Amino acid sequence: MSSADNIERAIAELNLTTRAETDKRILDDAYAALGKGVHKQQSMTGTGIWRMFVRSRFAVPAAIAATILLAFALFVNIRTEKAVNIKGIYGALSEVENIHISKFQMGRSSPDQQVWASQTLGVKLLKTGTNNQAQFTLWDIPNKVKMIRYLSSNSVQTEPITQQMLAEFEKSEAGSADMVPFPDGNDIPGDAQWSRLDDREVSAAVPGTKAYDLAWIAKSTDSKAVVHRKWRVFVEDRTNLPKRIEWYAKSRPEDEYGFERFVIIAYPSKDEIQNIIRNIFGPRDDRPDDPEFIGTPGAYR
Amino acid sequence: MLEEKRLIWELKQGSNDALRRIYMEYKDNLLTIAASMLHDTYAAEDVLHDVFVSFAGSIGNIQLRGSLKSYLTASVINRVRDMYRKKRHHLVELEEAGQLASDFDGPVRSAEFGEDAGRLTDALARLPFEQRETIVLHLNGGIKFKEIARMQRIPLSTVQGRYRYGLDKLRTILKERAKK
Repeated sequence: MSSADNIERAIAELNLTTRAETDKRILDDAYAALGKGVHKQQSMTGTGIWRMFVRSRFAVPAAIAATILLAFALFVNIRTEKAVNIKGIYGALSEVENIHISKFQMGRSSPDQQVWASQTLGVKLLKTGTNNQAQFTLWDIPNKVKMIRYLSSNSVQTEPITQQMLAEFEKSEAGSADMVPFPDGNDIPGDAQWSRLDDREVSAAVPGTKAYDLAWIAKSTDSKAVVHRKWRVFVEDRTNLPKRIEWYAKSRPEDEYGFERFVIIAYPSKDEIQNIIRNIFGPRDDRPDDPEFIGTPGAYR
Repeated sequence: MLEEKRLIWELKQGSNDALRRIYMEYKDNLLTIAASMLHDTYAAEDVLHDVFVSFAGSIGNIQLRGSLKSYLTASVINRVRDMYRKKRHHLVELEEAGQLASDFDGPVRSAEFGEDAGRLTDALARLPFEQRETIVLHLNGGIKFKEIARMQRIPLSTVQGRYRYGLDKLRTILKERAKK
């Protein structure tokens, strides 16, 4: 180990491994700190319920937008005339008040999950399962009440929403990442390829929309592995709002993209969401003897 | 980098899984850096603990400028510096009394490093803090001189000098020990 080169190599090769009990201690404490940190953040910024679908941070600064536009211009298959860009889509989503999202896995004809969310009403309704095994969960934030209806037993559970429940609920919202490829417009890489699909048949799959692809290379944290990802969005001509989103991935550039999952998006009115909730949970008068339901204003039902 | 940003996003939603993935990715490297700096594996584990608990607790305020690895490595180094400053008063007193062999002579689990590596970390512990920090950041942390200069807010030439002088001194220390 006399030469500097050997010393450098020897130092670079130093390696310690944590013990299992150390991992457990650190992770347990870090999980607890994360829960408190997220809860504190939510307390400071409001409920945060809507951040997952409608994020004001979606706005892309001009410099980033310029970078994206420049990147667009570098690709021959890009049509720039009246083309929608990512900024437009994120901006349109930031204005949405009410939304209905249906999430499908590849090859499935019925959604794994459906979500109705209304910022106007302050409610979010989730449907999981299918047919008579379906379960509806309503988060009524203004009234601080959570209701669950099980179709299998035709029963309804009602309980008040605590701050702890709210924090747990928001943790579960990470699945909303199915909507957009990046949480923030700023996170879109400069070398991502954004292109309008020329194939009219593809766009015709969702009438009244134009289809665009965002393709990028996602690297693992150590940059040793890469995944080629593609996010296809069908954008409504009139509103710039996405109506359908498809997710693709492949391991090698020479491979064909594999279709992974898709999301269908609708933008119902406040009244339509009210009606859906009423149809599922019934008018309030249907449950006069439910003690936990007493006192819940239920103004929208 | 992109997957990192997604992990951070998930983490900001409170995802324990994202936190676990980040921890598993970087824990060993960060522990090695802290142990190389402190010459004390138990203290290094405490640094790792504090870094991840603080990282998780303040996730809502974190805005990454560079890579997550650089951020966590800088966090480790900052903790080590704090620990170093606290111990320094005590060490100065020991040095004046002629009892100081190295900056830290804590309970190193040398066996975990191996015999040769143990000798190397012993020698590292005898380097001035700034030189040791630069060597460890560059070689264990894989951080380029330019990035180290940015992190420490010092000129690039200073970083390169610390690295070169540190290696020279390290070689001298190891040669002296080999003669004994």
